[in-house]
Amino acid sequence: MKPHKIQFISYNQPILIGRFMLIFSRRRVDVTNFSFRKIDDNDGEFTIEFNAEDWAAENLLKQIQKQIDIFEAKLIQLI
Amino acid sequence: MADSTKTQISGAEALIKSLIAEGIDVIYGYPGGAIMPIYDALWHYQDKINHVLTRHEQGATHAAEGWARVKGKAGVCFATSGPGATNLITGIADAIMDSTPMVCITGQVPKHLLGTDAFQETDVVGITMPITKWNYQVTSAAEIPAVIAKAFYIANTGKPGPVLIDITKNAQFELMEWNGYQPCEHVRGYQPKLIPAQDKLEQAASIINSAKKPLIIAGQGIIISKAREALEAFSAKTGIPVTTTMQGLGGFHPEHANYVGIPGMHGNYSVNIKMNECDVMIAVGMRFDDRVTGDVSKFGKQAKIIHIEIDPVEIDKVVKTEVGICADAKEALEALIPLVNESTHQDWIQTFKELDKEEEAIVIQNAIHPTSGGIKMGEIMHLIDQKTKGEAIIIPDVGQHQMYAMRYYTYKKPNSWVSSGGLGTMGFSIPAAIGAQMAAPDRTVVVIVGDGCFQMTVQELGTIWQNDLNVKIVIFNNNYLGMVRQWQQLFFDNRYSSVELKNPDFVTIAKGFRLESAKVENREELSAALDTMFAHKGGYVLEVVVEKEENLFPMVPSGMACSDVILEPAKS
Repeated sequence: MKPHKIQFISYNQPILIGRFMLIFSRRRVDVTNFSFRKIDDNDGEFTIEFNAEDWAAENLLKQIQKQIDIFEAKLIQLI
Repeated sequence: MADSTKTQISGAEALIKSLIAEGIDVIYGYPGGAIMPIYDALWHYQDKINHVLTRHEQGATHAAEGWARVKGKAGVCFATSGPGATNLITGIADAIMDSTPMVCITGQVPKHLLGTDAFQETDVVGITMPITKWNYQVTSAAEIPAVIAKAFYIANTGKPGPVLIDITKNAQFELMEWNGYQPCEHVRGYQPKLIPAQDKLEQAASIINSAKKPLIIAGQGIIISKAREALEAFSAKTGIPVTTTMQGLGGFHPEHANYVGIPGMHGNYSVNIKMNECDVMIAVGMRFDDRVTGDVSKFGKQAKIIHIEIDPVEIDKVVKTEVGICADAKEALEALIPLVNESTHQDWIQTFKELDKEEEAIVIQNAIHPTSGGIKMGEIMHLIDQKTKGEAIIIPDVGQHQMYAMRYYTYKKPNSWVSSGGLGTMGFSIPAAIGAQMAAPDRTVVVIVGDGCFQMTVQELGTIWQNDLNVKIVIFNNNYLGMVRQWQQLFFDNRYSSVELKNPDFVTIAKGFRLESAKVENREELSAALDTMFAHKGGYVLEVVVEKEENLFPMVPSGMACSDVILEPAKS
């Protein structure tokens, strides 16, 4: 297991983190941190940090990218 | 009908006009307090939209699913807030599992009451987040046309799925400017149209061209993308045998020389063994469900796997692929055809046929031509197959009868198998048949249902009667929850725990709903009873008393590899 971060843009509604977290909770992912930052009146940037194998992190990224209302998602390995 | 020239209309009317603009002419639903403005608007458009009043909101979702699965586009259902909305949950979960496009509209309490535990308020958007492709709460009328357009676009494109739109009552009442309807053609960040990558196609073709024992596993993606002709052309050119998953039935002509049967827990013996012998596995529009793979750690390890799938998440989710082609099945197959060599694999296909002989002798003949004991489920399906020439829409429920329906009917046309495959929803069949029959009024629609499943959504017989629907319902009655009983017998040392049903008189029940009905207990009467049912104009319920403890084989025992498939109970 390695620490990863998925960073993505969605609407400027921090409450959306609940929707996105469902993906992680369903797969019992070891989430270690999350954050939200307002970009402008329309968009916000979300980050979710977690521990997972590389292949699992890649698949989580695809799952995130598949969500409607998520834009520009990327996976960052933290170490 | 409402005045179409006015520009100020209510949100409720905007919804109805938007649905009409999407080509929707039938809605399944159940009214209630929080959706009354929408039902009032609907009343003004009765000449354009037929609303089918089901007897339960779950029935509305399954009917919309049945309609969608036969039509190939999103079905629509309505429900009110609170319990009306929560009654949709099973159908929505069913639709997401089986990639069924559906747009669910729920009424919601007025915006100012949200979060106050108002009467019949529930957070249906929160509840349905994990089981919808998209959901959204509308709180102002002006949003409605664009949100509905987005809902249909999302439901119908890419990997189809259910969308739920929750509309607060104030938004239904409010007036808005109607400026016409604009279909949605783009959603930010959503890319449903994926072009198959040329380098992946070339890699796949190279592997296919050097394969000695290749096998195609075709799933429901073939049906959804209307790829049957492309698949048949691909198989004809390459000579590669084709197996269709349960949900892919009808995706390849069952009498084609390259067709080898069905994989999975109760699929064909040969296919299950050969999946673990092939050197190249070409999976098209399928997702390696555990009922297909058996123990996935022992599945297809010898093979190079090429996976063609529209949902990128499915690639490498369950099995590691050599080449993943993320694209629509039809487009990918059509792009592959020029890249692959003409070939034959007759010796390889013959090895399937040799194993088929064993299955035929040990299982199939006894299933469809029994000479003693009670009526067998397989012989009923075989007779229905003969009488409908393999061209009916078969809608099984969930359990043993579903597996017999899968095995002993020849699905000659696509969109003929409408079954709850992923979620395995008991009670699916009768309401789904309502939608399927309305989507294809000229086709014969046959429900195959067990006595347990029948009693889960039996109230929808009233919907069949009220709408004069020509749905034929055959109850396979063994007074058991048969599949669970079989497992209890085989794997729980005969401890039959809560599986025996003391049933009502099904004929009386059907007649109470004013449907014609009959009961058959003897083999000699079965064929004539089916003839009577098919000759009848309108809904019909035929109860067939079947062998009480019939077991279904072949079987891949739970947790075993697909190639551990057995043709009969282990001697031990």
